[in-house]
Amino acid sequence: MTALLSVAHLTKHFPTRHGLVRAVEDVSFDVARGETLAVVGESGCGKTTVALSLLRLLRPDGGQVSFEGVDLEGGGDKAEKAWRQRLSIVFQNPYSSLDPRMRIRSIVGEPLITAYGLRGRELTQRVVRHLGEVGLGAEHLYRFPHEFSGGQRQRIAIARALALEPKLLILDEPTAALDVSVQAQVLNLLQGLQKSMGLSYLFISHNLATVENIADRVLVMYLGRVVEEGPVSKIFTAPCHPYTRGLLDSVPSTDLRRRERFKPVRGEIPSALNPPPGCAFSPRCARAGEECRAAPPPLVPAGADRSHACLHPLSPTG
Amino acid sequence: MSDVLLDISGLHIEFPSLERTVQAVRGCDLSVFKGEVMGLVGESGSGKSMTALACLGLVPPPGRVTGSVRLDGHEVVGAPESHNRPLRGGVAAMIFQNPGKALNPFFTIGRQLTDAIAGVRRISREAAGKIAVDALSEVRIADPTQAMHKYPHQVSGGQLQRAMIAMALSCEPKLVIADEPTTALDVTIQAQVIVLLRDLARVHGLAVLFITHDLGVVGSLCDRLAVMYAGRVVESGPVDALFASPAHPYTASLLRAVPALGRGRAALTQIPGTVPNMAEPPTGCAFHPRCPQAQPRCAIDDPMGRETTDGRTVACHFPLAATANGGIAAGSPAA
Repeated sequence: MTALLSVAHLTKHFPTRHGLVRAVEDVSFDVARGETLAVVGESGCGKTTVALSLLRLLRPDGGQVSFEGVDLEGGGDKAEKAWRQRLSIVFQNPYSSLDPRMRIRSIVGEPLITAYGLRGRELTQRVVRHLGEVGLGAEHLYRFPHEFSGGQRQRIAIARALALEPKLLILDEPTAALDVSVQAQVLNLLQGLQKSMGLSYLFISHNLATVENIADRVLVMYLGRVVEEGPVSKIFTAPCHPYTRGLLDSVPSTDLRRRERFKPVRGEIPSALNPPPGCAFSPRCARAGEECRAAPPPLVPAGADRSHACLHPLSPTG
Repeated sequence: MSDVLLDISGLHIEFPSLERTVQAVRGCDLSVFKGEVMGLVGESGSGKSMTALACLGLVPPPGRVTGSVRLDGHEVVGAPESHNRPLRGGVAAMIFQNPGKALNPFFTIGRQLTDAIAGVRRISREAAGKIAVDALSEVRIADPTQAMHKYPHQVSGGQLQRAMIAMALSCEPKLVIADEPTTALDVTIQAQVIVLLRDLARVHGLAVLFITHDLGVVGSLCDRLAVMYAGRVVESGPVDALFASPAHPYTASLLRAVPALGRGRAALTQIPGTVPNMAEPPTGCAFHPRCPQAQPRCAIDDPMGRETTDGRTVACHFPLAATANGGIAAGSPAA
C-alpha cells in the first residue's frame, strides 16, 4: 500500500530579528488512504507550520512532499494548482475563517468558481450538494455567516473544504473554538464523512482526548521535531517518550480515579529562538543524562509500527 | 455560625437594550463553603462569568442586578461602592482568564503587585514589596526578586498567571474566584497551575470558586460542582456523585458528549441544537428543546432547583434516577 501523502525531512525556518527560529526540523510522516493521522503538541511545536507548508501557504526550506507517489516540487504553478485541489483545510476558528460579507453560496462556491469556472444553476447545485453533505439545507444558501452558530459555521467551512472533492483534509483544531456541547456534533460529522467518502485526515490538535476519539495514528511534536509516532492505541496506553507520558499525565480527566495520576511536567517550553542543545525536552526530563544534551536524538523504530526519539525511552509495556 | 462563605440566591442579571433585554443570569442559586474548591461549569453565554463578577459587585453598566449575593456575611447586591470596595482583594480576590490583559503592560510585575498589596492592606510600599516577593516565591516562580523587575511581556503566559495568583493570594482573601484561569495555557502548564491552586487551597484553607467549561479540569481539582445552563444552576453537588450519576439530563449529556482520555474511539453522544440565545430564552426549562427526556410539561413549566439527598440540587421535572453503576463511567450512550 503506497501512502496517499508522503512527507520526508520537511524543514521550515523563520529568520527573525532575534535569530533563526527552527519552526519545523526534519519532520517525516505518511498518511494512508482513509486514515486519520493526528499531529499533537503544545503551542510553538510547529504543528500549524507543518499544515501551512503542505498547502504551500508557506514555502518549506527543505524536504520532499509527494501525493500518490508524485513529487510536488518542480511542477510549477499548474502542478501547485492541481495540488491544492487534492488537499484542503478547515481552520480553527469559523468566526474568522468565513468572510462576513459573503453569502454562503459564494463562500462554498468560491473554490468551484476558481478551479472549474462553475456558474449559475450548475454552481448552485454543487453548493447545495456539499451543504447537504455537512447536514445543512438549501434554505441557507443566501444567508450570511453572522446568521449561523459556531457549529453551523464550522459545517460551512467543512463544506467549502469538500467542494473540490479533495482526498485529504487538514483539520487545524476544528473543534477548539466551539462550545463543548457542539463539539461532538462536528467530530461525529467528520467521522461520518470519512467513512462515506474515504477521506484521509491530518488532524492537528492539542486536545489528546479528542485525538484518541478520532485518530488512528499520532505524531507527537516538541519544539519543531517529532518525538514519537505510532498508533494512538499503543502510544496513549504505553508511550515511549517521556514528553508523551508527561502530556498524557497533564490531561485533566472526568475519571476521578485518574486524579492520582495527574502529574504535571516541570518547567516550561523553551524559547524556539534559543532552544536547549541536544534533546529539546532534556531540561524538563527526569530521565535526561549528559548524552541527551550532546545532540538531538534520532527517531528510531520501536517495534513494527512506531518510533520515538529518545535515548532513555520508557518501556513500551508501561 | 454556618460555614457558608459565599451565598448566592435568586441572582438575576439583565442587560437592557433598545430591542430586547438579554437575561444573562436568571435566578442563580449557589453557595461556597469555607475551604472548599467549587467548580462552576457552563458553556459560553451560560452566565458563569457574570455570576462571578456579581460576587464582587463588578457587573458592568448597563447591567441590572437583583437578588442576593452574601459574601462573608456582607450583602453585595445594591450595596454602595464604599461598602463593596473593601471586600475586593481582602475578602475575595479574582483571577482572570487572560493574565496578559489583566496586567498593565506599562508597569513591572513588582510595581503592580506592590500597588495592589499596599492599597488593600493599607501598609507601606516597602512592606508591601516584601510581601510581594514572598507571594511570588509561594507560587513557585524561580527567581522572585528578579521577576519583580520584569514587565508582563518579558515572561511566559504560565509565569504571568502565577503572578496573578500571587497577587490574589497576597492580601490573604478567604475566597478566590478564578475565571477560566487555565484556558489560555498549554496543557502541561495548565496542569502545573491546577496542582498549584489545589495545594494553595489546602495550605491556606482557602475557598475557591473555579469557573471553567472543561469538566476534566473540574475532575482533577474540585470538591463540589455546579453546572450552569442558560443563566441558572441546573445541578450541583459533590463531584464524585455528580460524575457517577448525573441527575440533570444536561449534565449527563455533557459528560457523554465530551471526549475523555481512556475511552478510546467510543462514539460521542451528540447534544442536538445549540446554546440558546439569551435575548429569547426558551419557555419552561431552558434545556427542553435539546433534552432527550423532555415531556410536554417541560416546555411550559420552569423547574425550580430542588434539594435532593446528600447535598445535591437539581432543577429538572424528570431527573435521572441515581444508579450505582449506570453513570458515565459505563459510557452507555442513550439509544
